[in-house]
Amino acid sequence: MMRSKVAVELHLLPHDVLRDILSRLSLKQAVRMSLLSCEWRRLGICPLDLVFTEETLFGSNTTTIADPEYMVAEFLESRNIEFITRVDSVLRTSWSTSTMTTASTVNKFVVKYGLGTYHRHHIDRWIDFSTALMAKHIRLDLRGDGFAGGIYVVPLCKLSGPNGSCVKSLDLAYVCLCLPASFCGITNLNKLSLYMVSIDARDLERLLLSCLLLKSLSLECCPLSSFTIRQEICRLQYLSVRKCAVRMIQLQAPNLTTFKFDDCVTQIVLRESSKLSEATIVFKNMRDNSCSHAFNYILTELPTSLPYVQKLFLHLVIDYQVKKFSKTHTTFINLWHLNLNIDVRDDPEDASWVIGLVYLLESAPLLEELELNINYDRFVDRDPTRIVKAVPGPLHRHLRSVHITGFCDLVGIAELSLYILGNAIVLERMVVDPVVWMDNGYPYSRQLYSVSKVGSYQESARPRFTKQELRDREFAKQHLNRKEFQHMLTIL
Amino acid sequence: MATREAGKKMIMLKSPDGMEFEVEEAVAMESQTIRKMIEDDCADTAILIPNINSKILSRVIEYCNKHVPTTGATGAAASDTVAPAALAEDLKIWDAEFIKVNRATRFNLIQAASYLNIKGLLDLTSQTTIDTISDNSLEEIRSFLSTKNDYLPEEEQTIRRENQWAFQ
Repeated sequence: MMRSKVAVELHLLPHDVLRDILSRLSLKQAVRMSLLSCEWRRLGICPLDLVFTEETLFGSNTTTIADPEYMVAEFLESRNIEFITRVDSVLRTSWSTSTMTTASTVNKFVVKYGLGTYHRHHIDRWIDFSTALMAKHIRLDLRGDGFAGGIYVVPLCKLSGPNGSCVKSLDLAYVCLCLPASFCGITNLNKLSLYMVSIDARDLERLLLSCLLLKSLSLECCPLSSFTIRQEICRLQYLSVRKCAVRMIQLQAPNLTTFKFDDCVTQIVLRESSKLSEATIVFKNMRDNSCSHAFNYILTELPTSLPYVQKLFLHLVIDYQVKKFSKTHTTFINLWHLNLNIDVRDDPEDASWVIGLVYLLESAPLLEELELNINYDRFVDRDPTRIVKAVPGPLHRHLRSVHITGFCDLVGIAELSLYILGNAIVLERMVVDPVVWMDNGYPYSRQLYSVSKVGSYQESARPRFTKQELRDREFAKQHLNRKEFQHMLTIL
Repeated sequence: MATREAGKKMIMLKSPDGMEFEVEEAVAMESQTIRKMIEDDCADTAILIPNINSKILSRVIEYCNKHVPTTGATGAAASDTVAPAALAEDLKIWDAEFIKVNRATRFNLIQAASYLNIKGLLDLTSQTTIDTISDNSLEEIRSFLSTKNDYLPEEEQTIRRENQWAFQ
C-alpha cells in the first residue's frame, strides 16, 4: 500500500525537480535507467557530469593496465576501441538527437583516457556532443600508455563562436593546440588549464587575447620558449606557470591578483599588475651556481619584476655556494607579508648566508609579517655552546610578527633571529618552533608551507618532539630567551 | 544567550494546517524563496507556506536551524576554536541521522526543499533517493516510478547489447 502511494508521489514531482534528482545518477546508473521505458528515456535522464574515464567505464575490477603482460600494443588498441564503443553507446542511448528534445544539459564533460590522432574522428564527435549538451566545463586529458598515432590536435574552431558559448572552463592535457586563421575566441571562457600541451608561443598569445573573459590561466609542462603578450589582458586575475622552461614571462595584466611560478630563473615582467596580492615563486632547477643565482635574482630583479606584490611566498635553496650577495635599491613598495621556505642542502661555514635574508628584509621596508620555514638536512653536529651574535643590519620599522618553523642550531638562524629581535622596533611577537613543517608543504601539496594558511588546526596534529627537536628547542631558549625579548618571544 | 536572541529579527512561518512557527530571520533565509520574500518586503506579518504541512515544515526548520552559518561576534569565535573540517564532519553525521525517514516523508521533504529552494536539503534528499533507487532492480524501479516497460523486445535487446558493460 505504502509503496504505491509513494511511487505516485515521486512521479508527480515537477519535471525540473525530477530531472534535478536524476541528474545525480552516475553514468552507469543513468544508462541502466534508460532501459526503464521509452517515456523515461525521453525525459533525458542525464547525469550532471558526464565523466568518461578508465574508472567510470571499466570500473576497478577489470584487468589492470599496469600488468606488463597486457601492455602489448594489441591489447591497448583493443581496449581503446572498447573505450570508444562504450562512450559512443552511452551518448547514443541516452542522448541521441531524437531524445534530446527536452534540452538536457550537462555541467562537466570529461574524457580522460590515452587516445591520440588515430581516434580523432571520435574525439571530434565527442567535442561536438559536449557543446550540443551545453557543457560548462570541458576536460580532455589524453595521457596514456599506448601509441595512438601522435598527439591529438584539438579542433578549437568547434569551441569558438556561438557553438562554444557555454564553455566556461577548459582543461586540456596531452593534446596539441593549433589556432585556425579564423579563430575568434571562446566567448565565455573563464578558466584555461593546459598540461603538457604543445602550443606555439604566437598561438598562445592569440588564444589569450581572443578569449576576452579569461580570468584564470594555468600552464604546466608546456614546452614554451617565451610567454610574452604584447597587449593588455584586462580580466586575467590568476596566472600559474609551472615547469614550462620559459625564459621570459612578460604580461600586461592590470588586474592580476595571484601569480605562481615554478621553474628555473626566468625573467619575469609584471610591472603593470598593480593589484597583485599574492605571488609564489619556486626556483628549483638545480643547475650549476643556480642557488646563489636564484638568491641574487630575488634580491636584484624581483622587486622590479613584481613591484606591487603584497604577499610573497618564496622557495629558496641554500648550499655552500651561497655567500656573496648583490644589493639593490629598488624595493617592494607594497609587500607586507613574506614567507620563505628555505631548504638548506649544505652546512654553511658561517652566518654570512643570512646576510642575503637581511638584504631581502631591507628591500621590503613596509613588511609587517615574516614567516621563515626551514628544512635542514643535518650533516654535522654543531657545537651548541658556540658564541651566537646578531648579524648586522638596519632597523626595521614595520615588522610586527615573525614565525620561524624548523628552528635549529644551524649557523645563521639564531643570528638572524637575534638581529630581528633587536632591530625590529615595533615587533609584537616572534614564535620559534623547532619542528620542521616545511615537509608538509611543497612539493606534496603544491603549495609552500605557510603557518597562516594552515591555520590553527595544525596544533591538534602536532607530533611529539623528537630528540633533535628538543635539543634545538634548548638551543633557542639558551640564545634567544633574553630578558629584553621575553615579552614578545614564544618558543614552542 | 538571551541577549543574542533579543537582537535577532524573528519571522513567522505558517503552514496550511494552521500551525505557526517563529524562527530567526537568518534561519528562514536559508530558503532562497523566503529570502526573496523578505528582501522584497513581503514578510511583514506571517508567511504562509502553501503545500507543506506542519510536520514537514517543522523538520525543514530543524534542518535550517542546524545549517545556518554562525555569524556575528560569538559565531566567529566559535568557528575559530572548532576546525572547519571537524564542523563539516559533524554536519555530515547530523544529516545522515536527519534523513533516516520513511519514503513518504522524504518525498515531502524533496518537494518542500524544491519549493523553498534550500539547496543543501535538496542535495541531501535527492542523493538519498538516488542511492535507494540504484539498489533496486529495474523491475522494482519501474513500479517505484509507476512506469511501464514499453520497449519492443528488439529495442531492449539492442540497448542491452550496446551497453552491456553497464548491466554487468
